Amino acid sequence: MSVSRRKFLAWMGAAGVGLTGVGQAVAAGPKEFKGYTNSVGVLFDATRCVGCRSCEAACNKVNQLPAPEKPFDDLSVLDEKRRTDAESFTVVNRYTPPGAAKPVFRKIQCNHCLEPACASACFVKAFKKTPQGPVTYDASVCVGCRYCMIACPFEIPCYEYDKVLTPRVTKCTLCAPRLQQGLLPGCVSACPMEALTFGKREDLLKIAHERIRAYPGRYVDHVYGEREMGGTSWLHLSGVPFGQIDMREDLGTTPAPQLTKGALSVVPMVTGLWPVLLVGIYAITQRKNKIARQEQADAVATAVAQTQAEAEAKLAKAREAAEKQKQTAIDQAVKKALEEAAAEEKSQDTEES
Amino acid sequence: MKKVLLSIGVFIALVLAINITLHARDTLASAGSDSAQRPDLLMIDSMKVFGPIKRRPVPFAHDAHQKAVAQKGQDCSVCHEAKPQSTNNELVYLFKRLENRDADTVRNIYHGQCIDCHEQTLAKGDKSGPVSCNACHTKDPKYTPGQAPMGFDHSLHYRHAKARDNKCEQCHHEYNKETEKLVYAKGKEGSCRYCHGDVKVENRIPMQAAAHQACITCHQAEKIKKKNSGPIDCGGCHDPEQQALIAKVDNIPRYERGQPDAALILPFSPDKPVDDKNLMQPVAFNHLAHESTNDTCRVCHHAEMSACVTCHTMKGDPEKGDDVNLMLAMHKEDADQSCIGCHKTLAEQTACIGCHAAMPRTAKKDEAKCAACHTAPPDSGMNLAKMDAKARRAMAEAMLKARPDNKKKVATEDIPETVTIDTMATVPAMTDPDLVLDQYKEAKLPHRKIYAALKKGVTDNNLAAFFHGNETTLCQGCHHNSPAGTKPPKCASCHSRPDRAANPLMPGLRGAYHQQCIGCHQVMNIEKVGCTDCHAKK
Repeated sequence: MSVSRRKFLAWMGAAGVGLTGVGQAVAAGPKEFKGYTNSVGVLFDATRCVGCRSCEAACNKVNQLPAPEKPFDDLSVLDEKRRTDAESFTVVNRYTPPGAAKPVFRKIQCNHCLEPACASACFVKAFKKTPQGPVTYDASVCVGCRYCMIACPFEIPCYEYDKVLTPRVTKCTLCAPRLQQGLLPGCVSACPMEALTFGKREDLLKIAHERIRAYPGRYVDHVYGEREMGGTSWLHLSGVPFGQIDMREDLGTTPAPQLTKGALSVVPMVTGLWPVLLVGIYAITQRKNKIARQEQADAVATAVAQTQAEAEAKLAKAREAAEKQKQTAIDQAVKKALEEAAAEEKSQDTEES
Repeated sequence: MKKVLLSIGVFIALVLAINITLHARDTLASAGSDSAQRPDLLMIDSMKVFGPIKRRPVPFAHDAHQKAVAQKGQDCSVCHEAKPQSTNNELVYLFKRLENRDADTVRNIYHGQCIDCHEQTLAKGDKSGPVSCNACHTKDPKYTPGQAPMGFDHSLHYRHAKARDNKCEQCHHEYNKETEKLVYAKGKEGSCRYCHGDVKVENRIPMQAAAHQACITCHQAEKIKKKNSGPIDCGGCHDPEQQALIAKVDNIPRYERGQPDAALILPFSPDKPVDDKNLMQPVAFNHLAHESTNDTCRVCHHAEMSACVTCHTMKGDPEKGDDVNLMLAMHKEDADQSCIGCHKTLAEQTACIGCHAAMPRTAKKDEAKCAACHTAPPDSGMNLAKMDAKARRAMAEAMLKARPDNKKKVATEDIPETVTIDTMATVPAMTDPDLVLDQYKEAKLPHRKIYAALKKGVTDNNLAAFFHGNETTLCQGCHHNSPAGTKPPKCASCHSRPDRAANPLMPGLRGAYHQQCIGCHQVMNIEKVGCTDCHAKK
């Protein structure tokens, strides 16, 4: 059976599509991950936040971060939009949505996704979603590729660019070390408005929905983080549409790992199959070459033999012709000699006579 | 190769299309956003009645033209024709025509008349309007229309009624289908909008046309008689600044249209009385008080001037009243015309919102709140089902007079003058090993002053005064969920833990204080919302 190149590629393509399809079906099936039971999180209520920056100050303190340029009670920093950086794991920004009577504040930090994009992008497993809730980072294995920074849909992880020898990726830790000691995360502990509520994620969801029910006019009917990117440990409530406080509304509800799972699940198979396939192709090619060589050799031999025979025949013929020519020459010479001898005899005879 | 070419082609087309769309969006945006609004600006788009218009609508400043015409000693007839059979010189509010005959005629009228006049004015050396196509059909008009809606409130109605010697028939009319004429029906006067809606229905012209026709025709006639008359220019009615100059009459005498002083809202249909003691108590409605506190009758009587139950029947009727039954018509929270809907909107005033915004929507209705309106008849022997309409009215009046006196005063000495909030300093659980939370000193609350401010907001307002007759309800604004009285429990009684509450739905003590104080200050526009406004730094 002969397989054309085109047919072969078509089969491979179909196989690939089939495999990814199977991967997705599994992902969307009953195996949906809804977060670790009893894992903790924080509910941020933007209608309560007054932008006092106590959370920023507390975060700075408990994480022993360097002192900022402007002190934390200087609220003029709110005039511009900030983001997290290597030295601040959380920042509060001020927004003035159209039609709003008062400014709206929004706290930014790692949302501690239930299925984190950073962890799925990290090939040394420096990021890990712990069953307790925090997404932790292990600097000792990090190679500094910064794929996590590109993968994060919330643009949270930062990098210590100014450290030449030991740069680390930095982000909010959900105060995992403090949680171990039975303390609240620094920001939650410091918030005077209780705009931050710490607790089990399941409880926080109930609280969030209860607040929306009790104060329908105050909130947008949505708990941000309940389903965004498959759910996050940090949850957000707001009185204005989330897009107006710079929170992405285009993320969808699919966890980041699932977006790449289909394609990536094929990788082991491909890496397993490729050697077999390539060795096979190599063997076939080798065999084909061997046969070709053999055939060539045979052909050459035949051709050589044939030529030789022909040459010999030609030679024999030539020889024969030469022989013949020689004989003829001899004959003629003999004849001539005989004739000459006869003539001489005749003249002698005449002389004599 | 062909595929490659094709995809490149598609790509280029896409890029072009996106560019064009973006460009179009830019131009559209710039047309609207930068230009100022004018109350007299009309966009002439008359050609739209003949199909999609081909050129941009023309911005036309009506008052500027009216002024220019007047300066030349001319009147409205320069631009508007009078109705052929009109006795009072009623004008047709179309430019130089009685009707929209056909596209060419209308276009020629505008082009001929506008350009002609502009050219003539120019020739005289006066300031004039444009004469070129794009100058009128401009893509970035200097002004956009901005007409503030004009209302006909009680004060204006009173002034008009007085000026017309209470001759209601001069404005109010209804349509007689048999004679096909507008006739006046005494005692059936209602709001113009009951018949004249946003668009023309059958032979009823839209409200906009009806109002301009009725108001301006009359104002103009008065003006010709050199009498004090209302405006005939756009700005006179639709410019917010000029609206503010319209004289307001205080203590307007009551309309005479046979309405009751007090109405009894019954728990059954008035024409089908139900004799059942278990029905909800009736509500004695103070019609008289509501007349003076609302700008127009239409605030409540939104569709017709009749009793609510006429349309909103006990069970609701798909044929009338939008299938909203009487109970909902009175209680619907999101309706402007229902009792509770309107009262809730009023509770959003700055003086009220501080307490009312903090009140959660509860699933269970408070029985005490129901009883504020649903009161028992003073004489328990009375049978509502056996009364006639007159007796019910009389009873409503009697009920209003006999309203239980719940006006419980709070003595000034019972109100602490200042309250010092220093509980935080005494709570050891507040100390966080990593965070020192003692940068601020205790807060001193001017308690009596706060109470006085809340009380002032209530006494200035009849509605609030009625519902806050018992002054301890004011205490409950802050001392929420605690029984009314002058000795409410301490905040820490419920908000026991400082950092967070045992009940996750209830804030901790520090959160409770800050949410209560700052939340109220924010909505009541009280400037003090910063840390050092209440706490001195240590």
